Amino acid sequence: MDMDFTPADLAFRDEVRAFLAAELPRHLREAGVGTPSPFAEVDIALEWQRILNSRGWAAYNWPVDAGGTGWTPVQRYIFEKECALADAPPVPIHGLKLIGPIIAHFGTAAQRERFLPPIIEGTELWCQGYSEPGAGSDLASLTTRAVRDGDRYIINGSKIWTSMAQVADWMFCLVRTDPTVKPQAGITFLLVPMKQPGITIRPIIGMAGDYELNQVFLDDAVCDVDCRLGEEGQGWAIAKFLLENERGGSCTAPRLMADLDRLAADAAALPCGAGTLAQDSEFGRKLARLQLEAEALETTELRILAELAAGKPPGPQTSLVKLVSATLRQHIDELVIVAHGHDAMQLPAERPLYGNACPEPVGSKSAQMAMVSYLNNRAYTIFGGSNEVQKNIIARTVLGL
Amino acid sequence: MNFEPTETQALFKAAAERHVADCVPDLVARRAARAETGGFSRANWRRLADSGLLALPVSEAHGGLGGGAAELALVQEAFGHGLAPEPWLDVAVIAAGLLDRGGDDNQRAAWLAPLIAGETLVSLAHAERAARFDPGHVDTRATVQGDRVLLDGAKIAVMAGAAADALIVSARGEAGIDLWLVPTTAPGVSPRVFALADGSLGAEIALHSVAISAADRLPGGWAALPAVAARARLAAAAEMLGLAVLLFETSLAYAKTRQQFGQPLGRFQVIQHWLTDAYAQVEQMRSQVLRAALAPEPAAARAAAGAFAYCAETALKIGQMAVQLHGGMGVTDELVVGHALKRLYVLGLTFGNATAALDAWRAAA
Ligand SMILES: Cc1cc2nc3c(=O)[nH]c(=O)nc-3n(C[C@H](O)[C@H](O)[C@H](O)COP(=O)(O)OP(=O)(O)OC[C@H]3O[C@@H](n4cnc5c(N)ncnc54)[C@H](O)[C@@H]3O)c2cc1C
Repeated sequence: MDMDFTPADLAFRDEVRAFLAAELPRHLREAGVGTPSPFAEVDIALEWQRILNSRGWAAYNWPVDAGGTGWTPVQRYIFEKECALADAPPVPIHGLKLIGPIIAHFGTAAQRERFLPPIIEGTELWCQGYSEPGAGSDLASLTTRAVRDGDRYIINGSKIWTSMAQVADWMFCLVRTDPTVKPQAGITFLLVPMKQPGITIRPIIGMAGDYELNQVFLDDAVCDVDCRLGEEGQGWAIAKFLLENERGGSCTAPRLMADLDRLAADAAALPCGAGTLAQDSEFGRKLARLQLEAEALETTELRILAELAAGKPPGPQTSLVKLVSATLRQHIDELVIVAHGHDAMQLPAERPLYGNACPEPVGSKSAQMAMVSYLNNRAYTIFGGSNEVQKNIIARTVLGL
Repeated sequence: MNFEPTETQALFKAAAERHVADCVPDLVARRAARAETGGFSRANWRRLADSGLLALPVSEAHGGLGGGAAELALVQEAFGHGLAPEPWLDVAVIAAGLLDRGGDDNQRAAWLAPLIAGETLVSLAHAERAARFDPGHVDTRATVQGDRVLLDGAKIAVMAGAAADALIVSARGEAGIDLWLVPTTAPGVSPRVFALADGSLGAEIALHSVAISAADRLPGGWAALPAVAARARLAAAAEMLGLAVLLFETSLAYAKTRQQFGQPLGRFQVIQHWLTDAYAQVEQMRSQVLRAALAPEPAAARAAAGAFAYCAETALKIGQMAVQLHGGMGVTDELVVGHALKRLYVLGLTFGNATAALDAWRAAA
């Protein structure tokens, strides 16, 4: 047993570091710090993607034959970690991280050719249309209906919580094609163009004031049969694969550790009594506990990556990682709020929180981000399968309860 | 022993409930009030004056209604439950309390009487960044220069700071710390207004050679601060209780109506346990608030610190549970849940945070 990176991994890390030092511009780092959610503003996300793409690194979790880097799981991890340490903003995740690898895996040759290049080049953006007003945790009960009409589908229903639908060109979407069979079996996976008369969106403003979420209404929306991924009735299996693929390669600890580093550095500068907050034993212990949790999470994620690298499929530990990571995310946010004292009360209405539109922070940049991050990140234990759903999965599939 | 409000107490409670029902019946009205200059509706503020609620915390000797801790707690709980956006705590309890107990007759005539009438707003400017939560740490200086006094320093977290006509500024001089009355129009007062989590507009305020006179010192101001802080902590705890009740009721109703997997959320045992916890926590919060509201004077400050520490931490747990229970709905701005959670974070810094109040409670044992 050892926990060491190979010389090749270390060389790769140095290469990534050098790339970030040279190519990640200051304004994108500032945007990374000033983005209180998993989604950057489109201009920022796309600028960063273009820089990555010019190096051939945009599709860093895709196979080589689909235009990806073909990196090993450990390389992906190193890349994520270095990006987190460099305050890189997020890339547009729906296309690059979610649907891209799935089209690469399930798509026909024509679909791969049609959809993958614009994702890599950033000329087409995607959103995810799974959840519905009546189908959240119980996703299989979704009722958006697609009816075959010659060589197209006609779709009616509504999706909700559709992040970034307002900028998306396409929505990958779960629809019901057969209401007569058992719920999971009647679901089909469609790639639906967003810019069409049958689709309208209603913005939903989050409690921090951010606009990311939407309700999407499909009223006789259409999509070609060619835009069906897999066969009719295969939608549930594809969605599950996507989820496992996403969670299986998860590298959440680096970002959390970077945030804890920032908190520790801030605490060393924040006054408290005769000294600094870092010297306060109650605060120090709370911080240390979170750091240990993050260290453990990093190693748990590396253990999973090592299994993936050895060719084993992602197992149920992925639910565990989602659970631990989301919970830790929120505990960090809560401690950040405590750390910044009165200054954590600020919640600016302006967006984005970098560049010219951003108001001068009250106290510090970290203080300015504290409340907005805390509020937005309450969603971590809800989206992508809530904590309770993860626990139900673990209880059933791992513990046999 | 009797935990039922007296007839008069019930009248004030009803007045506060009527106020929120009439003025901020829903989030649309609340948003409209927040959008007004200063972050709240002056028309609604004047209604608080008309109903006597601005006069309630002030002693009868100084033109008020002489409400005690119990009256304050009942009113503030109703404001919490109704998500009232007005700065009643900051202006009518804290600033008015300092003028009432620490001011002189001239100061009260100039500032307290119009405050009670709803015409003038006064706010405390005490907190400083380097102080964190130490009430005795004041770096702002008061320098005597002939018959003038010059104030220099920087204050943070001035509540209702966008609307205040005057500030009560703590500053250190030759003889120690004093509180000074400073009109916000005085040269050298530079407020920087910013939005707080609850949508109100606070300010940090720089003071550069602000010239006032010796007559602007609140003679008993600094000495009155601990008692006023105790009342404010009690009132804040009571508002947290009101918010917690709102969060609990909203969550309970949602658990009964929202269906997933063919049944209401309330059929899932984990949700049942969350709600039973919240139910117990609300009852425990109410008991803490009652203890503080009914504590005899020598024990009042400690009890208020205890109630505040208890309620601040407990209410946040209920708030976070409520968001989680509502799923995607919970993270939107469309439910009272998010608004209540954000208000809790602002209230949680009334004269320091929960830890500071816990330390005060321990130290006073
Ligand atoms: C910020 C954000 C972004 C999102 N982005 C997208 C997106 O881009 N595309 C998309 O399709 N969806 C998206 N979602 C939706 C997300 O996946 C759903 O919110 C999630 O599946 C929960 O569904 P729900 O909101 O309907 O809550 P509900 O399912 O109604 O759940 C409410 C509460 O009940 C609990 N609960 C439910 N069932 C059980 C059970 N059996 N046992 C115990 N507890 C239970 C839940 O854990 C939760 O606490 C997003 C959500 C958020 C908050």
